[in-house]
Amino acid sequence: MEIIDYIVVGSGCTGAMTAETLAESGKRVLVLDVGIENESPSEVNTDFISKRFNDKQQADFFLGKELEVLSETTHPNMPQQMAQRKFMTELTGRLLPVSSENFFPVESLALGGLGNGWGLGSCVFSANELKKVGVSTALMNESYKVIASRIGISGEKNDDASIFCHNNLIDLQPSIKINPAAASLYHQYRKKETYFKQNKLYIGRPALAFLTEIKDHRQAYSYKDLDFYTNEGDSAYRPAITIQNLLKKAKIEYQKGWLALRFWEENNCSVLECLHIETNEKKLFYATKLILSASTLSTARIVMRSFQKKDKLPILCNAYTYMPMVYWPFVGKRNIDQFCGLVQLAMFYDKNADHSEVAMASIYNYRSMLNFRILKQMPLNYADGMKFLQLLIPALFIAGIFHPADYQKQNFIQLQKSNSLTGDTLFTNYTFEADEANQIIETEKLYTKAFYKLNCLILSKIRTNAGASIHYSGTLPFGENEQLFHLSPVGKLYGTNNIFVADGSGFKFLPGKGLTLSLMANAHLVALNVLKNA
Amino acid sequence: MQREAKLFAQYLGAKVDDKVLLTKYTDAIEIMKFSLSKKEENILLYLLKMPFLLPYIDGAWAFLKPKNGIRKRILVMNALIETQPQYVHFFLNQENIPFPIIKLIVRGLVAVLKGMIGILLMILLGWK
Ligand SMILES: Cc1cc2nc3c(=O)[nH]c(=O)nc-3n(C[C@H](O)[C@H](O)[C@H](O)COP(=O)(O)OP(=O)(O)OC[C@H]3O[C@@H](n4cnc5c(N)ncnc54)[C@H](O)[C@@H]3O)c2cc1C
Repeated sequence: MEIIDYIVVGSGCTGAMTAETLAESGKRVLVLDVGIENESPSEVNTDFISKRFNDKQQADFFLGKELEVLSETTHPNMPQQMAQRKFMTELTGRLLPVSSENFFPVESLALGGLGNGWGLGSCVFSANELKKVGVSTALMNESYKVIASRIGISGEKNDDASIFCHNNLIDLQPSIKINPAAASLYHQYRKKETYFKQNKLYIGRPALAFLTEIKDHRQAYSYKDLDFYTNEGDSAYRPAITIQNLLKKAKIEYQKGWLALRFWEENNCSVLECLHIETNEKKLFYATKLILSASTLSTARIVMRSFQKKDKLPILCNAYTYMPMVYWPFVGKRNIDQFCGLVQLAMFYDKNADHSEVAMASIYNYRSMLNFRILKQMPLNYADGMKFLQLLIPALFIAGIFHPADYQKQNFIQLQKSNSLTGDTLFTNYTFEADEANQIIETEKLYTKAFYKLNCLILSKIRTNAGASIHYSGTLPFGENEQLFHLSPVGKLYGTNNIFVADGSGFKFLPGKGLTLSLMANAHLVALNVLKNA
Repeated sequence: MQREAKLFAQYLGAKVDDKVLLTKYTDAIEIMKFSLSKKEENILLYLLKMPFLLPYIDGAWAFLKPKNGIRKRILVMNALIETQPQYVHFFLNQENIPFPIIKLIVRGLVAVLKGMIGILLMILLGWK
């Protein structure tokens, strides 16, 4: 029986950060993962415009060789369905089955997890937010610095959004260049700043885990506008970069193909039972300490199986509304110049004026995802719709609003027996009711008015299915009292001696912002605590 | 299938003798397995004979039945046209378009009008 010092389950944003911190101890670290990889990553040495004007085979690139982008069988909540990102959600239907009428989570079993497609939007949580989340502000503020120095974050040092995005806690590379339409929109904001500030609304550049300067072996962004398809020079932070670096330096071991099922403890050592996804072979792995970073929902499955209790667990998910809108001054404008498809501006609504309940809107321009995706949703005949869109696209903005999420008693997850490969299915319920629903409507109204002030016409307001924000947490809340299905404030799973959780499972509140930077910062703290406990 | 491909290519403003595009379309429909109901097949046969009706009927479907099988197939043709370099000017503007707002409003109104005429036609032809 081989006992490994630390086993980390999962290689997503949280798994990668946990592994990196643990590896610094020089002890043996094994990352266990399902680890699906992109078998044929696109090699692109051109930019979006050259490709569109010259490449006769571009249909394979943009639509997929099997035209998977046009297929109708894809997940209802999977945004940006690109052939290049299909691997990210492969096998989840089979290995992570979910049954629900109203909650459709997006999960990943890939090397790098959902981090292969995250939009890179990075926000620190305020002191008031961290208090509600259940983690220490002082420790998290230190940890944000460490994570930022590992992954590289670019952003504006001093604008109205700075305090919400990074609060000057982290070192920043300069912001990406702004697209002309977004610059013009921002200019409108500056002119009408008083109105916005009176309504507790603030606009600025987002902080992104995206390099504008060289860092280690990674390159600065080259504005090719193929950000949803490739990651040239690794300028965008993807967790697989960390895993591969650690492997190259022989700091960790990595075994893929293993689905972690359940754990138990014997003789002061943690035992993890895994299923091989190709051979269906079951194997036991032994560790001095086991750290689960399999994502909020996947970790919950493992813990529920292990405790063999039929408890319902709570769950948090940000409500998400998106609004396509036309910015009049840019209708019919030339749109073949330098451009970036990532978030251009971030607008924050600070409801209580104390950073305790912020709802953020990420504002994007639209181009590289092609016009047919929008055309499909328009109530016009396709021939005229095409011409209509030619005028509209240069002026099209999409704002995605994340609403803060608190526990609601009707929302839960529960593992139920089924005839799936793992013998169970995650049963879930998630609805937005009463005060929360009213607050969502109020925030949407406020944002609608604000965009109108900026000369935008909202085309529609789409309140998505629960799960569409792809921000989940809170299944195993942090708590001071030793209770089953809870975590200590430093990530130890109560009821066990050597099992820790380093993903979002403990977060008791979800601010209406990008959560991933905070997930990574927490993962680092959990790993430090594991080392301290060793 | 070739006739159908030509009908949709012409409708969307592409060249009807573009062999590459037509072949891509027929291959795509085979891969996608976007089948048509009996009723949709009959309507398609009718439209092949009277192609000038297509913008109106498509406009009506856009309101009434956006997930209609024929519309799904037209969208496939649209996506294929969008990813052919020779048609890129339908999708990306190399220069600013003059009087854009007026054009946008006119285009929108024309499209809505066609949809309304289409609804009337569908009632008259008993397709609704
Ligand atoms: C399109 C998109 C855009 C996004 N944009 C943003 C953004 O701009 N800002 C932001 O903050 N967040 C964003 N997110 C959310 C962000 O991606 C997630 O919060 C983050 O990646 C979660 O990381 P994780 O490590 O907790 O889980 P995951 O990324 O889900 O990683 C889970 C890992 O665990 C492995 N695993 C799971 N179950 C098992 C098992 N049973 N056994 C073995 N291995 C297992 C998987 O293979 C994977 O490696 C976005 C997400 C998507 C999809």
